[in-house]
Amino acid sequence: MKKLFIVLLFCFSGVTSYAHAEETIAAEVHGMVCEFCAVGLEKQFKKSDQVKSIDVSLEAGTVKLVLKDGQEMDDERITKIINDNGINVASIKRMNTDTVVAE
Amino acid sequence: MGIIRFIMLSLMLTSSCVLARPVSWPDGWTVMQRNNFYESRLHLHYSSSAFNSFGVVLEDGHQVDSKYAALQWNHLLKRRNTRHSQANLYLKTQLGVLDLFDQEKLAATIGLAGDWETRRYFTSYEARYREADNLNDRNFKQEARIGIAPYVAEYGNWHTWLMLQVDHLPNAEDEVVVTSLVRLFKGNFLFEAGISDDQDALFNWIVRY
Repeated sequence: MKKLFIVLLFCFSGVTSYAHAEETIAAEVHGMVCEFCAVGLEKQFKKSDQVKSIDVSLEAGTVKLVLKDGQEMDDERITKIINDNGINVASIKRMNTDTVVAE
Repeated sequence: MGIIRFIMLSLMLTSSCVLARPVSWPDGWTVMQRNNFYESRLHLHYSSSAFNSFGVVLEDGHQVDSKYAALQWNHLLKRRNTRHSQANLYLKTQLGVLDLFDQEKLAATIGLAGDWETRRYFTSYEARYREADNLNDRNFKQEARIGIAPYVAEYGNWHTWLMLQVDHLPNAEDEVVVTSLVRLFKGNFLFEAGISDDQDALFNWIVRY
């Protein structure tokens, strides 16, 4: 009983830690040559509940997305959003970043 | 005049077309105002997709005393994207009322507009034809542009373009007008100011949201 109490106390003591995977997606796009194209893409991705942040680069011709914790967005969905804005997708790369959060 | 005609014809042959893309992003609104020697025009349109927009256009003619109000549909006929460029061809149609010489008549406009641009270079061309019911107003106008960005800016910064616009209006007193202008562009706001070879001012702006 004493051991159980100690275990429970540890669990709720606030010194717990957990890991989550934050996914970063980089899409190379074709046809994004001006501000209006970039603004349009940014607006459409920001409407999506899965997207935590977006970084658009005209120079690199890329759209980088960071998804919210535990969220997923498949290539088909990303391609559709970009194509619906009149821009073409050249490639999509994914990077998983495991983050340990201590509380 | 011969040189100007040559430049204009060259632009028409080498460029695909337009001043401002008439279709925005899906579910986007555009407000656009153009003021030049020829007309003052206000557009408000809604883009249902990146391929279609619907809206209204109000126009005040400066060459003759005319007013024009119309509903507008713009359609992206063709887009070609590459890593460093984008080319577009648009169809523009309008149906409305033209008030000319104190007569109000049904009027229809059709236009073809195209553009090709990179982050450094810009070319555009637009041809527009309007005809009003029972009025001697067969109005044809064409416009071509070339532009260069003196520096290439990243997204979120101010973009600057130096442009040359050539207007050809067969019915006007001055058939060919050349305008030098500066375009400033950031985020969802675009502004242009220029002056023509006849010392007439050009002032355009676009907001998209």
